[in-house]
Amino acid sequence: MLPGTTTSMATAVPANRLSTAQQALGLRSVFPDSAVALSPRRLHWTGRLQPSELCRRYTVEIDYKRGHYPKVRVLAPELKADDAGFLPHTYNDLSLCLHDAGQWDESMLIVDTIVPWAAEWLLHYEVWLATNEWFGDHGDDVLRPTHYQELPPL
Amino acid sequence: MTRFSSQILDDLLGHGISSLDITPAERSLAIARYTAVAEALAEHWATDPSDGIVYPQGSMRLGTITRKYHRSDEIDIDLVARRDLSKHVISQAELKEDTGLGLEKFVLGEPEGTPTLDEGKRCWTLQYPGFHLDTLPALPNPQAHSESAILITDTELVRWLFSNPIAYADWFHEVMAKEMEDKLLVLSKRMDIEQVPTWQVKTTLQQAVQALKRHRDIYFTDALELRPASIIITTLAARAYRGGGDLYEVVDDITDRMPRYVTHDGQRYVVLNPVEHHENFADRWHGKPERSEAFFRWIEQAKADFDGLARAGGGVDTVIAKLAAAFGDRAAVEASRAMSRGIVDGRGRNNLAYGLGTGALAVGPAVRSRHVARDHDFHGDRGARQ
Repeated sequence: MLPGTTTSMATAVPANRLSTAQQALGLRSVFPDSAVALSPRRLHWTGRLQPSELCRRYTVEIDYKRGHYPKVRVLAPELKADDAGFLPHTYNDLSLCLHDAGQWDESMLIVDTIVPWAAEWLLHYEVWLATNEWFGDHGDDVLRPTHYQELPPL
Repeated sequence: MTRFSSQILDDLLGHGISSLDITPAERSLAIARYTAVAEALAEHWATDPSDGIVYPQGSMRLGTITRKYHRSDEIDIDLVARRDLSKHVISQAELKEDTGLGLEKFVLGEPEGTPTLDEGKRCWTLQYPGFHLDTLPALPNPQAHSESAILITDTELVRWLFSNPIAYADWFHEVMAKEMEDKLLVLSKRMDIEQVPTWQVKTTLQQAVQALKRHRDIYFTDALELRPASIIITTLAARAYRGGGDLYEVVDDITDRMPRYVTHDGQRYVVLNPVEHHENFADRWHGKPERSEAFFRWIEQAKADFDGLARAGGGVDTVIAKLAAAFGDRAAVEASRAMSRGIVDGRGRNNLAYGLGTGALAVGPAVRSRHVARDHDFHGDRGARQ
């Protein structure tokens, strides 16, 4: 076995891991009006998303630290939980659950994954506000992913 | 107000309207049921059922069936039962009674679905679980130019009433023929079959009629007697229709233009039957100003409610709430489910796009957009509980 290789897929780092600068470039090219703060290890993006003309326009922040899944929060307008304090598909820190473990890795452009997934979350959230039902999941014939309090580390 | 056409709005509206329609399974069942009625009446009259003595009329024939809001979303199907006799040998009362007798024998034979029978002003109603078959006794009208012309009875009138539901339906289908043909072509290519039955396709005119009928039923929940007749709504909508397009735009345009096709001859309001020019569908408004007033008040409200659906930036939740007010809660939830399903399936097929600078979602190709890179699941603990 060659030195430096690993047999554990779980800890494998994608060969084409993107830098924070590459991620920032992607975000800025698609959302020229958004704000990006950047260091080699960390990226902070604030932008506006409107999943359809019918939807509200949301200010959304993405906090991405290398080696971690990006964290997505809605800054405004404030998300409304139901009377019991329940807000579907969110973590305890009110960041959004956008994917299962293993569905995102650092070879993927945040702008083509996390951002539209957040837009989709917002659309399903507005439907949930009216119907009290979350229709954003695959049908029951699809294997349900595990539900976590927190995602396992990337 | 911002006016726009949006895939999500058209999806919500289209799915909301189709939840009011008869399902394919209900349709097959209804056809099986009225075929049995036809056979029973043929036996009663000792004629051949293939002479077409029982056939659907009204919304079943027009493709505009709309579940009854005030009767727990039940379906009404209107049938003509034509006895091939001359009006000189049978009176109105005799025809009505004789048809009732044939239907009574049918019901006593405990047919499938175990219907019950009720008498109405002009028709007999066979009640099945979930739907009614309203059966209208009729004679052929040999004086008319059209072979499909019939004479019908009315307990409140001495003379026979003229009717021609087949010619009316032919007129309605002719008005929307171009859109129907285009949609059938698209569907037959997609399904890769030569002939798609027309009932599998809805034109925007049919959908507009269903939307308007449902809105009317909810608007007049507490004053059912003031409801404008479906034949008036259907006729005015078909007159106002200017061809297919985006569903919301068409529904909005039809609703806007409909009232101008109600004319006034100096004495009374007139909505002419397009195939029987001596018949005024608005006759029932004469001497009852509250009926015409109710119509004009309602169509204004429908217009305002449909306009309100397209207010940009207020939230899909507010649009769904307006859909629920216009079409009922069940329609609004079904619309939401089906619209969301479209997005989820789109991403599952790797066919979801998001708009540059906006994140606006679209299934299929869209202008100024990028492809969503991959499928995903919203996981997490189904929400934080604080």
